[in-house]
Amino acid sequence: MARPSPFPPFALWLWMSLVLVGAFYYAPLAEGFLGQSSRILFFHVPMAWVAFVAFVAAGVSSVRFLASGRSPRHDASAAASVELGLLFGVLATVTGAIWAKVMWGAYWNWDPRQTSILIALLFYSAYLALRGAVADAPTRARLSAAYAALGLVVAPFLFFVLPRLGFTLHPEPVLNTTGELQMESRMLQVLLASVVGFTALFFWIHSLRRRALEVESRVGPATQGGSAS
Amino acid sequence: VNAKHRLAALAVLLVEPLAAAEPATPTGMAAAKAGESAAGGPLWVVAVNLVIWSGLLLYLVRLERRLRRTDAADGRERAR
Repeated sequence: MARPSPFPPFALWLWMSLVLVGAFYYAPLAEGFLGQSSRILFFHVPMAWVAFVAFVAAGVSSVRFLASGRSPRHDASAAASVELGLLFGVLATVTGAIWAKVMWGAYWNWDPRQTSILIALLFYSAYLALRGAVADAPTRARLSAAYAALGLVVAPFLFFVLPRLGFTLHPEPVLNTTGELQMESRMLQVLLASVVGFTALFFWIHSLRRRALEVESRVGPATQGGSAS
Repeated sequence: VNAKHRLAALAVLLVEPLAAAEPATPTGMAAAKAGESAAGGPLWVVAVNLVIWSGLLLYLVRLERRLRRTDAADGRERAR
């Protein structure tokens, strides 16, 4: 009997729908932002957060791959995490660029946060290029695991350290340097709900993508063998 | 010369629509101009987002079912 999904689709649909409605009709507009632009916060920040979670998950899966038995499941998990991290990273960059155009007058300003996420996207794009360049599956898995494990140092540095080193156009983070939460309570509720919803969505899509990669790796060699004979 | 000027003005309008627009207005005024209240966003944006989100979810549910069927078929194949 098939296991029930850990992410009941209807519950997630309801949760994210409530987040959507809450973002527009429950949370007030933030002070100091033009028009309705502050509402993009409820989608831009969770997407950037999910990109970070995905890159860390890729590193963790890669370390598990290298440390215990070289299981193809961990390799597929790391690859799925990087793909999704890039997807959410690009979405965070695009939503951020739209917001930057409204607030700062230009889509791209070489702000430390914009620059650091661009470097992160390039770093993890190279991971996919590496996977595409190596034909032998065990070698590909080993090399890409070593590369993604390096990401456990690179990702936190690019997401949390580098943006704080110099002047930034970005507003103070939700949890600022003094450890205080400086955000209107209804905005904070919607933002946290959105972060939870996007994180659950990531883990669901990740599980689907990982399983699809596992099926591909099982079916692929058999298909190639069949065509060769 | 006039044609060149008109062409340049058109290019500016196409490339930098916000720069060509009037200066930014305070939040309440901008919202009123867009036909929406400062308390709530435009309804059509919420509606379009809900439709996109529902479509994505249906696609993921369908993918989940197909993967389960593939996994089950693969399990039976191995058992034989």
